[in-house]
Amino acid sequence: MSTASTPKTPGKVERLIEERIQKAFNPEELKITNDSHLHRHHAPMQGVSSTETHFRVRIVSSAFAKKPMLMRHREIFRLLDDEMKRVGGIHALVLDTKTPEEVAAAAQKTHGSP
Amino acid sequence: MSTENQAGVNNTGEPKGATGSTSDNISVANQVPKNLNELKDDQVLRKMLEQKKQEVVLYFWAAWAQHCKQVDTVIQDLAKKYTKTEFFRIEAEKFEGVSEAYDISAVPTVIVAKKDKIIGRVDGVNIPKLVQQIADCRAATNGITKQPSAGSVPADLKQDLNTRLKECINRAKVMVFIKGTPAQPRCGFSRKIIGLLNENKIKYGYFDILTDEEVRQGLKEYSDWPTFPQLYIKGELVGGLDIVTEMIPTGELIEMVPKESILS
Repeated sequence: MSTASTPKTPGKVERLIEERIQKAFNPEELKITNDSHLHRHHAPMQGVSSTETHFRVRIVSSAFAKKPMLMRHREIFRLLDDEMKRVGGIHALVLDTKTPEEVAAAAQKTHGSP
Repeated sequence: MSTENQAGVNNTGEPKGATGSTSDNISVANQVPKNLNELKDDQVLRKMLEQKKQEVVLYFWAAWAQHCKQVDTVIQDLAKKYTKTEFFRIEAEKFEGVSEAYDISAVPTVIVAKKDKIIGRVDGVNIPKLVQQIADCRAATNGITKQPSAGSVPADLKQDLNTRLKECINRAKVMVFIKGTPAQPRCGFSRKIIGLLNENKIKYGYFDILTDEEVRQGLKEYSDWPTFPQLYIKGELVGGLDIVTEMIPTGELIEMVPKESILS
């Protein structure tokens, strides 16, 4: 199982996200990217000193099998509900949720047959 | 409350029905007032707007939009009250040209037009706002400044938040809730989702959640979805940008979109 996050030391929120997702989905692959610096100048972000507001998360886990995307995303949102409701907490979450089979199938397609 | 139409005689010399309490108005509602027209020929509308100096109320509706029923009743009541104003019921999908001209992407929508200008607009089922707008426009025509309140709203037409949200979600077959407008999105994700809908030639209605905090927070709870943009098809949540993005190459999204919402 590989876990990769942004090169800088992960902040408190990022570590919290990682911890909860690990526990809930026991992922084969988990990658968290902190995009907050890209959104710092947005109106809603002014006055918020937090640098952990926008994240991209990629999770590969068999826990997602047979669950439609809507359900997968909802589960993750529920997991992080308190952090998303907190002022200065998570403002945006871009999710990429796949099962190991789906990843393999996608790889086949791109490296597919002639 | 003051009414313009006194119990008396109308243009053709027939006695009008008596206007009484709210419950009386509902039972008398079956008589369609003469100033309420169902649009059959858009030339009629064009001529009327050219000729009349006064405001004309345009009510865009669709048979499949359940929530129009509430507005149907209110429009009838308003037509009875403001006998000097012409009201048009316009079946939005039958009169695409007119709908486009007034930028109608969802129903019910009520426009108050004067000549070539739009002096009032109410998107969705917002009875207090509708009553207020028409009263204000009438008052403006009469040279009276804006009045604080223009008549009472019958209790059975007041809505709770859930009803309002359900109505919002169903205002168009494909409905997107974004930050900003399609012309001026105020968030990168909202901009992207509009781009995807346009690229895939999907007709949609939109709602700018930055203009309505009640809907913004209410929808998060109602749909159990904490972020925007949100895309709904036929009243059901499809998801946010990432889900919509993934559903495009697989063809899943287009499959969900009703034929009428695909631009040829």
